[in-house]
Amino acid sequence: MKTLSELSDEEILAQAAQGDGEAFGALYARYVGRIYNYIYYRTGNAYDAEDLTARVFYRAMRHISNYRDRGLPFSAWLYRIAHNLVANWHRDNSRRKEIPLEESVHGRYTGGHPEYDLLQLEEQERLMRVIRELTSERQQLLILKFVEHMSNAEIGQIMGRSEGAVKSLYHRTLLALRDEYDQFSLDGMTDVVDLGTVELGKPGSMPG
Amino acid sequence: MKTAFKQRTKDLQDFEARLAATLKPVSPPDEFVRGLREKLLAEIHATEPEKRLSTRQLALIFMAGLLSVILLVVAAIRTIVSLVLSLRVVSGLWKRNPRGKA
Repeated sequence: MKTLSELSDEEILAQAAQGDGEAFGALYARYVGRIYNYIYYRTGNAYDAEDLTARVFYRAMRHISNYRDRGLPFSAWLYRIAHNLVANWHRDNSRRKEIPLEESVHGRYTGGHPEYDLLQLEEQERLMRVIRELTSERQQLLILKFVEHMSNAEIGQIMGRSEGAVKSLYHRTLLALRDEYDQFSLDGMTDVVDLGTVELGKPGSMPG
Repeated sequence: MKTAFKQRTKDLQDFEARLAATLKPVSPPDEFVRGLREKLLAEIHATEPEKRLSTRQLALIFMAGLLSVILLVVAAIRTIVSLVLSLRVVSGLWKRNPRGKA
């Protein structure tokens, strides 16, 4: 007799669909971290990540008996729920300023030189800002690739695209992101220079 | 030409390394994971008896329906049989004594 942890997703899913709480608990244990990560990077803060992760699993629990196997992994179904909830969340919060990824970037002390760590953190913050300007599809691709370490084929299953299409989209995303990042970094440097000119060159021009 | 291509590839690889350093997996708080699991299981267990009851109810309703149909059919057959027998008795009596004399 196999334990739940030894069973495949499909086998556990069949039990969970019959209302077996322990089976659903096993699926939850397998995917809660991944779904949380995905939502965390899509929303940018831990509180909303927790709230939306809970909603994903409540929704999955209520609809698991209606789940139909269409040849896609169970994770694709969960990511689809998460994707839809995050899209709704962004729509509802579109007028509100988004909170930066404070915890993922800040406080990652590497044990190295403090100045180097600070520079690294600033660079990562800049990069995160640029990532968050991408379309939701491209953000999803990057999260699945770098955070979840999925292959192009696995990402394709979740995003409903072919492996080749994912590869192509990834390459285009990478190029666009790098260009945006370079531009963003240049703008940042220009701002610093401008500020320096105002402060040092024209002290009397500053208000107050 | 080749050098430029190599440089571009290297630039992209460097950029990928930056992305990998930025997009690191995070762990959800243990308290949150445990708490949510408990809530989910509690909700599943709360709805389980209802589901079992409804399945049992369905089986009972089915059995009751089946029994009712059988009883109705038996009753109908019995009524028809008794009607036929009564008619035969009446017609037999009528044939023996058509004027109603004993």
